[in-house]
Amino acid sequence: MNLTLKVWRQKTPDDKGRMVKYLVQDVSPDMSFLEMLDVLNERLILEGDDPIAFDHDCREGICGMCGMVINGVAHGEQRATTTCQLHMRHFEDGATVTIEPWRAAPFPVVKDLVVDRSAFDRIIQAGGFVSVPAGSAPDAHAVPVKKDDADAAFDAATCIGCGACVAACPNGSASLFTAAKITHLGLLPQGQPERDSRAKAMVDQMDLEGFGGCTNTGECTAVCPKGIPLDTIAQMNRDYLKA
Amino acid sequence: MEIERHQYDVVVIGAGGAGLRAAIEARQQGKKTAIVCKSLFGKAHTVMAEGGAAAAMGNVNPGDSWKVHFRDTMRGGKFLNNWRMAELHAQEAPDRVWELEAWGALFDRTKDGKISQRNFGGHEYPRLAHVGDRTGLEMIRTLQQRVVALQQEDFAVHGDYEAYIKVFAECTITRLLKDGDAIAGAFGYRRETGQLLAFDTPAVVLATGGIGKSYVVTSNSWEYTGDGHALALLAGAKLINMEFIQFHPTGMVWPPSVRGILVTESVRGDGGVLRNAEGKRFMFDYIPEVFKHQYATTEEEGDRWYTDQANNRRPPELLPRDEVARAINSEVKAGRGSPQGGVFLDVSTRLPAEEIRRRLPSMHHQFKELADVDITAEPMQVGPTCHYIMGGVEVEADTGAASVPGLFAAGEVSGGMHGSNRLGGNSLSDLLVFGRRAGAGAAGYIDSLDRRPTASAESVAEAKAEALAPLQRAGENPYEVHHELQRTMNELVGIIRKADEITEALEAVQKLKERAAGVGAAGSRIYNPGWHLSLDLRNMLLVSECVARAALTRQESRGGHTRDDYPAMSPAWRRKLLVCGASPDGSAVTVEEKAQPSMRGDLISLFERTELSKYLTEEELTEYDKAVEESR
Repeated sequence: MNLTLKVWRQKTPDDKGRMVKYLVQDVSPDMSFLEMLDVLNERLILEGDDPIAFDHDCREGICGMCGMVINGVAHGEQRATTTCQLHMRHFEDGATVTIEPWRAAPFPVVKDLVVDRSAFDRIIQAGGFVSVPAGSAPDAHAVPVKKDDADAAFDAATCIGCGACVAACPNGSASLFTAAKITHLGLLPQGQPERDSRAKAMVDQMDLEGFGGCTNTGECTAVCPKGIPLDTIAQMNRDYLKA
Repeated sequence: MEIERHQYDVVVIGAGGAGLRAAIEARQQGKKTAIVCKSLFGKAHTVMAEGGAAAAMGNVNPGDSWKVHFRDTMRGGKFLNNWRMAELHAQEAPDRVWELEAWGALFDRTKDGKISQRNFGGHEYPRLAHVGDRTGLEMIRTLQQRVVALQQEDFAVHGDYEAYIKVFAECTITRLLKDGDAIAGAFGYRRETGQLLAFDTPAVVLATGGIGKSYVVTSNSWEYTGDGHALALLAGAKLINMEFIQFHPTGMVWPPSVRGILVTESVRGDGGVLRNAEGKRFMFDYIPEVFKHQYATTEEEGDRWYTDQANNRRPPELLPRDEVARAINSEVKAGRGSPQGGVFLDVSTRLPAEEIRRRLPSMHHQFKELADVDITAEPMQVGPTCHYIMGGVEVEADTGAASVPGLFAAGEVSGGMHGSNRLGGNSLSDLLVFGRRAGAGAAGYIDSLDRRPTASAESVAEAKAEALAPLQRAGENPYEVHHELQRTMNELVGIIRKADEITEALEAVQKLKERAAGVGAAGSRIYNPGWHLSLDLRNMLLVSECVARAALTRQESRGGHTRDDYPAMSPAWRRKLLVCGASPDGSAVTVEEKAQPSMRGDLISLFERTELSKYLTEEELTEYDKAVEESR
């Protein structure tokens, strides 16, 4: 199949950036979206052009590195799928595909489709871990975790920190990401001692980074490749208000 | 160009489960620790582990204990295991898993709130603590957050997050530096910029994983080029058990771009069955003599086992991995394979679609997205893929110390724990148990030193010259040499081996070594993958030579080493370990036989005489009788 790509090109963080049109031919429907870009990049290198910069690593949907806005939707229209797991069979021959980076003030563009997501790291550093002594190893075994709690925490823990939620949110809010982290640890016994301080520290850091507020639009969960539910945000707000 | 220089107490090479656990331990014991990894932090190969961590907690079946786990591990390894490692592993694995929970990990629960455990090949009881089918990811996330938590503590005390534990991501180590016999440092470069790096450190923990990239079909990631194995050899340490390579029985065989990617054993643990092109459940024809009593002989009994494990024997689909891989290989060679050259793995007729989606979400997603196959409606096509090397650095069981003072190894890069074949689930627990021990071993070693070894300026200059050489040559493309090495190993030193084929492989490797010395990657140092591969080639060739030489020497079939010309297992060979060494320039690889120490009396008497008689020599059986007598 043949496609027309319109790709955001931006040389440096300060560069103005623009959409550039590329024609790609003989794309196999079995290729992944990133492989299609690899093929284009190979051609660009041969032609002496600068290849399109994009983040990727595992290509199996678990590392959270990849991410681009495809046809206006973070990770593309295919639900619950990261960009690396998106395949070309979902596109029609002759179609035009627009590809843009995550757009949000706290995620400045580094180059082309690569954005700086270190704001997420700083939110985690503010409290996304267990640091109090939660007992020795056998103690952990002595405290049962209710199956329901474990399952709910489990759903929250599937977050891979890709940032699609921020890109999709009209307010550029990182609520779903932060809420997933807070909910995951807040539901577990070992996360209890720091539950309040964690919620406060992480939400405050989120605000400090310049992420917007949540207006329950729900765009975030629609694009989330792991399907993190919206009610984690309610959980976060409860914990935050209590703190 | 200036060499960036750093001083640390411990340098851990590799940031997978073993590396992180070692670094955490070294830092907890007050040592200034660096973690150096080839990819980004948190993207290590451990994240790909799906099944779980084996730990005899007895949550699902109270009959389980470390002794049963120890027995299973020894059986799986065909009694070639370093029994002290197998003992420590079985005893300490539950603590290591619970410790992860204390650090914020989350494992699937039983109804009464305990950590749930699942069945896996070769394990007598449900034993694998798991997080759906993404256990490795959860483990790395937890260990990473533990590192972050420790860094916050250090910030509070020292005002610097990286005061005691610092990550050097996207860096490759190319040489270990020595002062006399002892480790004095490590030399490498930043992949992104080509900036050269030297660490001054008295202790190095190798946690670099495996060697899969020497094979064409492999489940291993791009990082698995045998770096730690080669670094250890070149520093004068020894490798053992290099002939034993595990081919995971079920890798995806189609489409080509994902060939080798793993299909977790849980598919079989949860009821999936293997069929050939004729629709026959062929595994019943491949139950080896030594396992006759533990496995079902009819489909009916095997099927009943999933719901009633007390009164039935398990189905043969859950035989140890080497048996299943060989069976699939035989079916395909006999012309009963699937259209894409594998066999069929079917779960669609065994479980309701909803159940499959719930229990095997990643597999459902993987096949749907990568191959457009809906595993709830049709069978998968699978075949053997190079998955794990049992062989590695010869270490002391209790401390992970190699024969070179200051050198430690843990995880896949170390050898002995798994003997001739590793059980599924024993890897994640291995990383935790021996990662911690290697970290503690390194800390203890530093405390025992009177003075710090220092690397000479000449050794740094030599390492620099070696690292930069490919950039200054306009030679052959390194990818050509790599592809040929992969084909050679896959075809000639693969699952089934023969003396003449291995000899042919050794000749080929010799020629490839000469070619590798001339490969060039002219151009910039900034992210130059051709340069990276030129340097990795040295490691892959060295490790491949060890594999082939050891495989040629061992004239029997056992676990991950099958010789077509010596199809039987031999008790005499069980007593022998093959130890590989190399000259400092890597030009000559030697293989020596070494006697396997006898198992301690209280451990060997955990087994029945009838079982041991299949593995041990008459002389050893006499020792066994004496041990049993004494324990009475």
